[in-house]
Amino acid sequence: MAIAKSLKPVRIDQGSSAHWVLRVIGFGVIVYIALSPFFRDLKANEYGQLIDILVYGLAATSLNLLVGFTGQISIGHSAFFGLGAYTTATLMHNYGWATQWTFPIAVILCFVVGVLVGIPALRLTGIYLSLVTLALAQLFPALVRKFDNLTGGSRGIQNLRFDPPSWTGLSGSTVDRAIWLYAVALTFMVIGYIIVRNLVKSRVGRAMVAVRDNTTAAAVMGVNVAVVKTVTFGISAALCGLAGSVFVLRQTQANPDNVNYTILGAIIFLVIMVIGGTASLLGPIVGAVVYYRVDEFTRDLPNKDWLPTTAKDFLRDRPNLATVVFAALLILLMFVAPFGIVGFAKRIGRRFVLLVPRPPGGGGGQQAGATPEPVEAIPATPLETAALPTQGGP
Amino acid sequence: MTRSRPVRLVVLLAALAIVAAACSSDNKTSSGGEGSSGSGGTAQGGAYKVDTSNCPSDVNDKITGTVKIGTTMPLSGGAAAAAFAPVADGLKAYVQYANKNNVVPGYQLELSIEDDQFNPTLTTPAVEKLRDQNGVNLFSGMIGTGNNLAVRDSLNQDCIPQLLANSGDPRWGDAKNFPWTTGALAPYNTETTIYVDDIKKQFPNGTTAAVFNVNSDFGQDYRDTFQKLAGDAKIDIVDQQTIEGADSSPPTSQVTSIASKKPEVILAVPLGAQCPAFLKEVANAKAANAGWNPRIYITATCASTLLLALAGPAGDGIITIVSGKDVSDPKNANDPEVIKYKEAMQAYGFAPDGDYPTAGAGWAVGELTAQILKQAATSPDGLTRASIINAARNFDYHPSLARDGVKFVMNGETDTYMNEQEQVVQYNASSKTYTDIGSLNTSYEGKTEKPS
Repeated sequence: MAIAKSLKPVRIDQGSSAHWVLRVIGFGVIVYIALSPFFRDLKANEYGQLIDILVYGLAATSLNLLVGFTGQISIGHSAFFGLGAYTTATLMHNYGWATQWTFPIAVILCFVVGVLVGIPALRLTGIYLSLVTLALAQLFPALVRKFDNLTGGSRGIQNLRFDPPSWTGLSGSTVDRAIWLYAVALTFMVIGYIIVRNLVKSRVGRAMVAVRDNTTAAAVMGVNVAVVKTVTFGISAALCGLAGSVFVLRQTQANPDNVNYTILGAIIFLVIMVIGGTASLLGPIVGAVVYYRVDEFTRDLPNKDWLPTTAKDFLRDRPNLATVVFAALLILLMFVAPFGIVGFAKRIGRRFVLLVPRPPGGGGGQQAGATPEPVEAIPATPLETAALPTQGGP
Repeated sequence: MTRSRPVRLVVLLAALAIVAAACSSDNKTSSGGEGSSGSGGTAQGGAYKVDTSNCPSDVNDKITGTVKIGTTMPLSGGAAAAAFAPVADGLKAYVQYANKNNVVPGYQLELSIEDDQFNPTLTTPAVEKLRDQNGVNLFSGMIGTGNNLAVRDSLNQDCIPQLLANSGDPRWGDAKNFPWTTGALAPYNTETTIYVDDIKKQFPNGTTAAVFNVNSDFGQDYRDTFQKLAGDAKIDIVDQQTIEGADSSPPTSQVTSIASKKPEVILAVPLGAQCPAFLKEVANAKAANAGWNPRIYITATCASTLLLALAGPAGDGIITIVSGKDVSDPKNANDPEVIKYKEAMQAYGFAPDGDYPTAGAGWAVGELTAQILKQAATSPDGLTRASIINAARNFDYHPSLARDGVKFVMNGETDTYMNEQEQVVQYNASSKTYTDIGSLNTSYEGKTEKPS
């Protein structure tokens, strides 16, 4: 760190060729990470873990659009997640639909419900809005049980299988099924990412950020606050529903007791978003990787060979300690990296490379590419996004 | 905005890829779980043989040296972990005992337990890890209905035995569609039927009853069976109350409602910590309604040492079923099997004052698994994944900790439930022991109604 401070960061102009090289490298790394599982000889369970991570990543990405960029807190996204899951499950099981056609229906349904839920968001902000979404989260499992002829009620729906189609050349073996579902999850993650990225980097995105930072000012500047808020809610819900659709196929069953369809699921999505980096495009994906791996790591601690036997025995006798270690690590992370991991990485990165934004009037500087950019919207303080996303509410 | 065109193209391509997947995907996608059923069933010689024609080729490979057994249990994550912790100890102790005493001749047993926190979302990756990283040959004694259901489909597709699911869900008896999955506990529907039989005996002229159940598939199994049988038994169901699975507050309003109808019988199916909470509420309601003393039939899953200790005097007089010996009852203290069990548990390192009845559930799973493996190893096919499930489905055995006369029987696709011989008992809270009501009920052996 001392060396870093003594060095002057390299200044790179936005849109310059050096910037482009950086972008291409960043993009290449991400593409490599995403596609390498197809070429590595992974075991089926490792693909399964990657699917879980992508599902969480997509759900957190959807939430990030709403909370991070538009400043509307939702702790009811588990309901959209569940709605997407149950749409796929019900259409497959009750109506014999082919799996792939259930995805668009889940997306549309969640969008519509999301817009409807977004309507109260026009009048409510902050904690009041989160209470409305909290009710939604509580309501969803109860509704699933209520309409049991559609959802299977408490008994749920089983045997939801999405076998690889023949054109993929994949067989029905365990590994091939896992690879196929990974491909599906990855495709949806990429689509979700591109949708969110394009929204955020467009005029709409600036309107969203304006609504978040000062609703009154945004309205004065001509932003249609009502449309921005409700449509964002809808899109966010739709993406979360898509994540749910993949999740239900990964689980091969839908059951209202599953934690991801309850309020706990919504909180997991929020935690992932926050640890990854609120209002950062890559944040939720990084957050999902870290959340999943840290959770896995702490639960597996008693089996680690490198720990002394006494420590292992100590942990074995206190199984709940894993949860405590996990929680402590998360708290520690929030102290070290209050803007999330991506925010932290950007801060470190700025010591070495300083991106000089193009002066206004120089034309749109947003290109296709997935490299995180230090110039994108970053919340002013961590508290603002974590607790009080809308400052200038009515 | 012109720059977004290539991105649109990417989205379009991705969408087309999905559509292409749609068009050429065959209709395997939503076809039930008939992984390896087909013609299956009973082969020549009368003994059940699982159909392995759709299985991976290694299903008939001989297992040599070490048999790897995998399971998932809630080891951390709150109430469930505390309640089930002794089960893991019982299972581990049996495996140690079996290896020391060469219970499965020529084989060492290796047990791997993964923690799923009672959360089915975690069961899937845990089971996959055991399958792919540890290379387990079979799963046995996984705890929880949802947890077992979460992997039932994939394990049946992979043709990996999923033995002795620690749950009484009747769905474990679906040998036609899921030949690789079997259950360990008394099926909930049979348990309810046995209660109704006892009600018929106690109230030959009919009676009034209330049902209190947790709002889950587990609670629903009891309620549905009870409703179905109520008419024939002249039971008038005067009230039905439910509680959500995650609800940890005492069911005051539900019990108040039940008490206002003063039923002579209550069928109670709470979950975990809700059991003592419910019994305490009923005790309060009885105190407030002099003369009302309902006969309470409570799910056997509530009748654990831990839960009944929490209920205290409120648990007095409840009726449930058991198939095992009460190892904590002083009257069984000299039983050689109980002595052997306790010695083995202590050799493993279990505390002398530990919860032996609950650990017994793990011990029983271990013993049954070892017995199945032994039978499979001595079969003409030798020990293979297929011979393991064949042995489980051609099974007739008296577990060491079962009550006298209790047999665990399975027979091909006809009798697909192992634990169907039950003793109705009444709990005495002051002596913390059970008193038998009538004799062992074996009339439902092989007769449990399979799910449609």
